[in-house]
Amino acid sequence: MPFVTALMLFLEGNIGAGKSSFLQILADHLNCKVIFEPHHRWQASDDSENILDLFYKNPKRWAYTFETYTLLTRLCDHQVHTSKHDHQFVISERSPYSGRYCFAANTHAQGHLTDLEWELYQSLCDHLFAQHVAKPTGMIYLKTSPEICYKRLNIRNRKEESTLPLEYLEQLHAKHETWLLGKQDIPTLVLDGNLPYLHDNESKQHLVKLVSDFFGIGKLNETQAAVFC
Amino acid sequence: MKHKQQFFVEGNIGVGKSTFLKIVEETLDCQMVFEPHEKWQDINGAGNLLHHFYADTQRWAYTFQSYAFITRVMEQDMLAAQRPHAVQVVERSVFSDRYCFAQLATEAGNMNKLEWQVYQHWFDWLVGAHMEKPAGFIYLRTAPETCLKRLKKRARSEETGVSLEYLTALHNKHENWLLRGTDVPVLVLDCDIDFEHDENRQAELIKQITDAFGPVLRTVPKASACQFSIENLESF
Repeated sequence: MPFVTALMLFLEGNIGAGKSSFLQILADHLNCKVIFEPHHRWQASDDSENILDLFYKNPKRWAYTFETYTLLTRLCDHQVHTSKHDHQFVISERSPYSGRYCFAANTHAQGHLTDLEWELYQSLCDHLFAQHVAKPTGMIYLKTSPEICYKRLNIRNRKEESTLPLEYLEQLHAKHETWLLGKQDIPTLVLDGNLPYLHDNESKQHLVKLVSDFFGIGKLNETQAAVFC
Repeated sequence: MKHKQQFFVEGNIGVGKSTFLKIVEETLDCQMVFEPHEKWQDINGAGNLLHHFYADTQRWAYTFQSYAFITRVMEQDMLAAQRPHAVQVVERSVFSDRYCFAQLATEAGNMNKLEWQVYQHWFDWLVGAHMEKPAGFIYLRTAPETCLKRLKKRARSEETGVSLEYLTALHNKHENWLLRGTDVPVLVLDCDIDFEHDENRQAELIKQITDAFGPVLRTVPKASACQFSIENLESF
């Protein structure tokens, strides 16, 4: 059953697009709850086996298990966070949508998910999204060129990202572009993620204002209060 | 989530579930939910999941087991939306998937530890989000040897590989779960006695169901429907 939630935004963008820095700025300036991508759950496991590792080592064998598991963890987190109304709005780092339209779609395009597995995955999405994913108020697309993402990955040097080739980032970029700039009916604010990370207060305020204005966050205060009293 | 009353018909392979369900369908006032086999066989023209599962069980066990129980829930939801107030009688359940078939697949080494964990994670979430506590289980109980005899008689091609050993293992799973491991009411029906060709035995089984689960589960009020039409005629 779709939930009523205060105001839900999805933050979308490539690996290395600058999502974490951006989320930090929003969290500092607005009364929002952040749902971080449940990355830790894909790595942590009760025993030595780690689904992310398995997927990287043998994608053909483990892609379906990996993609259905990431789907499940995203759905779980959404359900928990959207059923509580203790914040004015919720912002989610990525979403079940990008899991489907960017990441799983790309895994299929690479040939790691067979056509049969892709159909199975999509039929689960069709059914489960209708019941468990609240349609967001809007999306923010942090649009960053794959080359800049690649540079940032090399600078920040996270272990599991160190071997990602530029080609993979380019494929993901194309998936983001097709999905977010193509035919879809959710209001989407596109922000330039190529700019260097923001340090001065003025630019941060400017960014927050862009988001607030686009989604009418200031104006929503009164009506939201009325709805959830 | 709306309130659904659901009874699940459980039992080993070859127990005679199909025949039994046909009898239930004809006599009880309920909505039948059959196993969505066609959803496992034709995946939008991209292939047959059941074939893959039988051909290479270790590779496809997680995929099949997880997809099977999710499609069961979809089927129940879809039919419940058509008749929101009907009592459902359902052919097998996510519970027998989990406690009999998937568990056995894991013990046989067809799902590894990680796949079993992911499967259980799905199960916990889906049951928590979608399912009401069942109103009851109807356990069609037979000796594994009887199942084997009936399987040989009906000779379905996909069942030719089913051994007495496998039937015994499945039987034990059913016993442990339904006789000792659940707090849902379980009606045990003795199905070693042949009921397929014995109408008296069929009537006995139905009576046991309505005795145990009535008035929620009751026989179709055929007589009153008849009376209604006669009254209509008389008024002419």
